[in-house]
Amino acid sequence: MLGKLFKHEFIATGRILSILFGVLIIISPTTALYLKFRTSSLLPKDNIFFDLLTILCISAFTIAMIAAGITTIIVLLSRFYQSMVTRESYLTHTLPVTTPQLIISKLTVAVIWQIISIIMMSLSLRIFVGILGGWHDFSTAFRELIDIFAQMGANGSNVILLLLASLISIIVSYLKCYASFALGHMVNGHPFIGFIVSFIAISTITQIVSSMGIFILNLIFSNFINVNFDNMESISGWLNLALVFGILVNVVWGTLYYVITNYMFSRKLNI
Amino acid sequence: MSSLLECQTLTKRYGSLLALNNVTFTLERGKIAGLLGPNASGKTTLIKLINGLLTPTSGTILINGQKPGTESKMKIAYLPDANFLPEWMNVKQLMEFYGDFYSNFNTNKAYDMLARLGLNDRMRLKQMSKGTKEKIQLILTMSRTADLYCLDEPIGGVDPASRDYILDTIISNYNENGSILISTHLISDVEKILDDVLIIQNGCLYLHKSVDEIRTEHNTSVDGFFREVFRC
Repeated sequence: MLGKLFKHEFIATGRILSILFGVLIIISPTTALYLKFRTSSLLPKDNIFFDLLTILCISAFTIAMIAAGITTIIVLLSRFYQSMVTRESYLTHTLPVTTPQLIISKLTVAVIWQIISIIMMSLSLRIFVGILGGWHDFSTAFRELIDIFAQMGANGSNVILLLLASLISIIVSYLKCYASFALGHMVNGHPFIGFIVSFIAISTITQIVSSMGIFILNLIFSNFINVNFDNMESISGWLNLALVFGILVNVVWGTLYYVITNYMFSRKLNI
Repeated sequence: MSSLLECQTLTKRYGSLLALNNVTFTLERGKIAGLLGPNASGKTTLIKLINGLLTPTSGTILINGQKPGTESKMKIAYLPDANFLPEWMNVKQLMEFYGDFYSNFNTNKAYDMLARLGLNDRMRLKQMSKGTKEKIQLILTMSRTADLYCLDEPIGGVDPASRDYILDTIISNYNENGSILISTHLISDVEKILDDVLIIQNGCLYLHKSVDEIRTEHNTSVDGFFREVFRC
């Protein structure tokens, strides 16, 4: 059943997101080609029409990039809300599947689309900069940044942990929203208001508890935050320690958000 | 006869509002039962509880001896009282969706019913009228060989000709080894197909009898009896 849930979740979300990414991939070379053409000697320099078109192209590319990032999140969260809380949930919650299967399928598909959106945005930027001939400068600046980190002692393990921390952070962010939807759906007739209130409450509690946790750890391990940093010979060890700590904290919160979502939708369903 | 649905002292509260109060009844296999009652009497709440869309405050529900869950959802075909299908989907996608998740969904039967309505399977729900959407929902529900069909107001808000189509579709397509629980306040239209009647009033089960018992004991139709009981 999980495979079927994945399939239909991809169909439901892909119909919007595939168009969105398609538009992004078309806009980046189109706008870049025009801008390259504009700087050539073929077009008159002082022409208000071509100047306006230049502004329009730069705006279109910028807006497309921002929209791709924001719309992906909105589409994926809206899909969860529509299918788990509104009338469409009559269909979802009467399917012969378990609540964990529903959550896992939606979460997996959301994370995959989120990764695709990052790849598509990077690819668009690569195409845009590449056509405008600025890729060499761009990659040189990037390489210089990496060199600075390497000189400070950063290595491959930092990169792997950073990628893992980013992935877990994406997963936990979605789970946090799912838990807010799950708690918010108990507000009869106003599930979206319930979501907003729950999200603010969960965020506040998470922030307070996390800060208290760090403060207590700092007291127990006598200046935990600074001691390890001072004793490290390079930034690598400190960075890895910070990343592992961040991952563990996120895993704890993610597990808690998952438990809340599963409990509310399986034991307290109120559709 | 074995009981297909058992509700024991079923109670549902929404805050201070008591929607269902100690409802106890059983529904046997092979019966078509009408769930009747005035508006806001608790009919939809009862149907949602049976389908696991609500959690009871107290009491138990057993479907074929099992509590509402993954297995009971395979055995129950539910038709809600609202448009619940995603508007962006076309009929073909919906058929595939039902076929994927319900092993008891008969795609050929669904396409036969669709052909009789003269509808194209490429039509999206958002292109359809309210009445056509309701018919599509009914086709999808009745194309399943379920043990229990829970139909919430299937003829509410449609014209008399459509009511006949809906009732004919229900009678011609349900699994005769199963049962139907049909909620409505349009009693005269459904009375002819009912075996049993459950009347709910203010969240309490007012009466559970066969149609024949009501007619014999009260010397009137179910519709007449209902009007007499709930006269304003």
